[in-house]
Amino acid sequence: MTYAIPNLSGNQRTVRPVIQLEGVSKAYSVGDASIVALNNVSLTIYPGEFVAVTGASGSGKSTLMSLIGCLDRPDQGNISLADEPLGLINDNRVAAVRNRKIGFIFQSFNLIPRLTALHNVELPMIYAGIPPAQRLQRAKIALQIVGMQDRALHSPSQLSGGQQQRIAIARALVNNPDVILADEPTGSLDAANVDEVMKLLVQLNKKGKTVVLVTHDMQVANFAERTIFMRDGNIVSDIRR
Amino acid sequence: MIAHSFSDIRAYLRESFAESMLALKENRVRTLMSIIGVAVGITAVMTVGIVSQGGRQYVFSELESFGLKTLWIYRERDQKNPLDYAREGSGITNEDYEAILSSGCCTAIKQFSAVVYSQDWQTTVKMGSLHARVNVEGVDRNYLAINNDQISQGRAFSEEDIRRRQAVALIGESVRKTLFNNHPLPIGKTLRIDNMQFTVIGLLKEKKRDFLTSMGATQGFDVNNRVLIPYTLYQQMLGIQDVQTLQAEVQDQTLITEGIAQIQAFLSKQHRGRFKYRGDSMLEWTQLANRILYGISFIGVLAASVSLVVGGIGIMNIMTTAVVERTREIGIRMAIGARRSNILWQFLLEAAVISVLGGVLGLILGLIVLVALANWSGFPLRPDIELILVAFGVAVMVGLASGFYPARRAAKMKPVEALRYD
Ligand SMILES: Nc1ncnc2c1ncn2[C@@H]1O[C@H](COP(=O)(O)OP(=O)(O)OP(=O)(O)O)[C@@H](O)[C@H]1O
Ligand SMILES: [Mg+2]
Repeated sequence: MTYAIPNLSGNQRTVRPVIQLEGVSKAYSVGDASIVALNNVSLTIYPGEFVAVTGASGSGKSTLMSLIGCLDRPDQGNISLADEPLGLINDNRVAAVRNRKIGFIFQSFNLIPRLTALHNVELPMIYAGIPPAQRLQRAKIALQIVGMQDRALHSPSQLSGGQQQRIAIARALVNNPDVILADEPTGSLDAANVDEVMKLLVQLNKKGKTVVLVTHDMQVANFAERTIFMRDGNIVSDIRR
Repeated sequence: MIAHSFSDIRAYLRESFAESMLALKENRVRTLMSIIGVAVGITAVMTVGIVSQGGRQYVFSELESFGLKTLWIYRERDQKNPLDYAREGSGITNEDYEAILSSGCCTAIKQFSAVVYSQDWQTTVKMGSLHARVNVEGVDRNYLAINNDQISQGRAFSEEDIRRRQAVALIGESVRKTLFNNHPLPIGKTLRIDNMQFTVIGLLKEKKRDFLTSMGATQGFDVNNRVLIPYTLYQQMLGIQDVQTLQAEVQDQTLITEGIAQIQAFLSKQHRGRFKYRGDSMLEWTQLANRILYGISFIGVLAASVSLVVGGIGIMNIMTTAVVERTREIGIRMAIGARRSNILWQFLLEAAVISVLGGVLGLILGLIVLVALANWSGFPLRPDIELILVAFGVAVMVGLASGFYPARRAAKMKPVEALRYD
């Protein structure tokens, strides 16, 4: 694929970062107390990277993901996605960024139970305003990529966890985003399905997608070329292989 | 969302509608309850609206049968002034009557009729061995036209009947029933009034008088219990030269007050102010009817609207529940790119679907209720398209209004928090 993983001594300056955090902090208030979830975090991720984020429970991994994914705004610091600073853009633009630039994958799959697999995959395109015929075609291709074309008309409750997660991956990639954000995508899956899902993510990454993955599982983390360790809201190590 | 063409927008709407239906089907019972809630409200408003309209028509068709342009002028005796009270005569002589007919004094008036009564309230009329107490009135030719009286059988008075004091009579329906043993064809039969033989030449069409009777306007007087004879003959029988009442029809309903004033002025001048005249018309009854009917429909529509508001609260209630239940779904939709407006419209549309379905059901129920009511009451109840459209519009408004608060709540959710909800 097009992007080489930039090595620090090389010519990485010619490649613009796809994700950039500068001094980002986020605190939650619980009652009177304030819990610092992210503490002055800076992070740069380049296009085509496969990044694993690990760390103890409560170390701020999910908070980091939701800030990158525009699901929340930081208390301090700046975040840019594909050179677009997110600080000042309005709600509609934020929605568009989530829609076009980001694909989310969650631990609990988060499919809408009432809708068929196909309809779930079509949703991001509905919000993007893509005409029905084109939408259907693209949704079918996405389902084919994750090997779920035979289950298009099944509802989530008729699918296994691994199958649901594959539908969710199809939904995440269908609008051709720059970045795939996966928060413990394998956390609810058995070993066989973990493999399946990870193969899909690797495959997407090979096709040029930037993948950021949160996991507790070191074996899963080993799929990534770069591993970030977090502790108490700080990045304590950032290792590229 | 960016729509690429009109057909895309249509497709988008169709899909949004289909999605709403899916969501609503998920909770069939709940959805049905709120649909029924709206339906009851719409039915109530529609029924009250149409019934009050029908009632209005009913009352006004009755008032019209007495002639909305009719007025009566008669002498008013001053109770407090013994001199005036004791003064003889009705204040309207035959000369006055002829003068008023030929003078063209009263431009507001289209036609006149003299009316002669006996001193007694009712007169005994005999037919063979049967007899009845009826209201005998001596009238002129125009009387029928002025009073909107129609002849259902036989003929009206001719000019000659009046001029030559013919002993001919027109009788009302009640008279036919009592005196002629319900005989269907009393034409040509004879009856006796004060030992004088009269030939029945016509039958007056029956008038309904429900409203006026209930308002006390008829004071026990039954229009269907009338016998009409030429006033000229009645004057002769009673030995008088004046008429008790002058009836008239104005050119136009708006001229009633003016017509009364013109006649009063003319008669006062004729008698140099010796008599005072009173003028009555249907005006006060139509005004009263209007006041009552507007009052009733206002209260009715108000009461019915309460049930519609209750229906709206029902929608608000289930939509609020739905929004809470689907918090996570809202978070998911936002995470994959739904705008706040997408979420808002999604829930508004669901509320609108409920209220439109409620509106349709309400219309159907309303029509059933109306048909049943019309059959039972005999009221002229017919739904009009305007009212149906209004009811429908109201249903949609109720849905949107009561869906707005929950929908806005959904649209304002924070994606992270919504996603964490379970
Ligand atoms: N909405 C919230 N309200 C209050 N505190 C929160 C909220 N979300 C996160 N936190 C706190 O912020 C810190 C970081 O949470 P975060 O979810 O980012 O951790 P995590 O690394 O994803 O943990 P896990 O591995 O268990 O998912 C934790 O101490 C958590 O309790
Ligand atoms: Mg987490």
